[in-house]
Amino acid sequence: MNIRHLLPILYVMTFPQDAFAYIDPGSGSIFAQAIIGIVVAGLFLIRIWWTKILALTRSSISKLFGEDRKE
Amino acid sequence: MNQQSTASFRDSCGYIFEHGGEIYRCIEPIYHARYRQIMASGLYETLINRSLLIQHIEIAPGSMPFAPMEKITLKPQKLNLITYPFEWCFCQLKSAALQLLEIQAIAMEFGMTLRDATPFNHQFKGSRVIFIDTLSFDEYQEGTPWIPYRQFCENFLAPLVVAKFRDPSFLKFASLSLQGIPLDIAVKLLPFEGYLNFGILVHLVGHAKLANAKGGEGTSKHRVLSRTGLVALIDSLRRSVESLSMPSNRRSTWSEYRSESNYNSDDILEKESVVQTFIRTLSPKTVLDIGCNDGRFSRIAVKCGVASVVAIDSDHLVIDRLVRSLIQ
Repeated sequence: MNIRHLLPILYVMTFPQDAFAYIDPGSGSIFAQAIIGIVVAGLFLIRIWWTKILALTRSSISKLFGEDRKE
Repeated sequence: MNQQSTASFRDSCGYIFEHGGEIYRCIEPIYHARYRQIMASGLYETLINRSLLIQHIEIAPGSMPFAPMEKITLKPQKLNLITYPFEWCFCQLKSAALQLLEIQAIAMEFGMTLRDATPFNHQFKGSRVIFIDTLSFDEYQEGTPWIPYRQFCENFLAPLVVAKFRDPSFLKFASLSLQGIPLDIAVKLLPFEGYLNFGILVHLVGHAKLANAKGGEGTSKHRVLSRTGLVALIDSLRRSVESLSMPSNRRSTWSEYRSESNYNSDDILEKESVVQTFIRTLSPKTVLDIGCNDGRFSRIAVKCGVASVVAIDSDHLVIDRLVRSLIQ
């Protein structure tokens, strides 16, 4: 069997099992969620990194000033 | 045997029934594994400790005629008053929306996710919102989308946005559309300033446009959203809901009643005294304050030790103000 024949099977296997959902999320809405998910995840990560960078900068500055005072 | 409540028909995993004046929830075998996961994972305990979910006790199978061996029967804490989302004011719907997102974030820490997002799953204990659908959880599988995303946007975000930018009376119209406001209708009702809010722009306008562009070809459950994506989506929805508030300068028929009414200070003190005498004489278990405005007389009833005080008003702004003062 060619590997190409296995690909659709592998693809289907990555689908989640049936959920107990009784609402129809709508394929259009899932498509929207995929796009929106990328946008908000990007901003989310930028915010996390920005917070870390700010914290790092603040601690570096306070260390520098702290050392200056000691001198 | 138990008689399924006619209002409890949507969920195939369980149903509500009443017996001897008490409320019970029957869980079908199809959901037993999920229920055990909710209880054993620590999710239930965490939600109870944070006062987010209604408490219940399990009835031993077979111990009562209405608790069959093959099913799990729960006895949730009974609430004094049941209200519906179309009766709520702006800040009540907002607090329910924020609670739902908080529960979703917590559920993910325990490997679970919410499978629906309707305001009918929330009730109020006093002024505090509480989630009542213990069977609303499903196992989270990495990569899957948040199934109730559209439902959340149509049932929570869209009504809050329309109420904020147009008129809070729109929340009453929810009784005409129990599935919320369709996204494309909400976008049509959105004024220009609404487009300046990032959350509204993404989750309402972008959502509606992208969903329409794709069209409805049936349900798809492809792997579309990473765990980080889902966490970010819930965080973004939370920020969007938090950014919404009623304009403080808005006025209504009864919003200035206290400052502009004919009562002078002596009259109001006398009225308070009369109400207090009535309550002390009658010692009622429940007091219903119809047209409560700022809840001045309801507070007297509470001070007099009445167990249950229900304050209602048809004016949206005054009831919103009252609820906000109670939450703070």
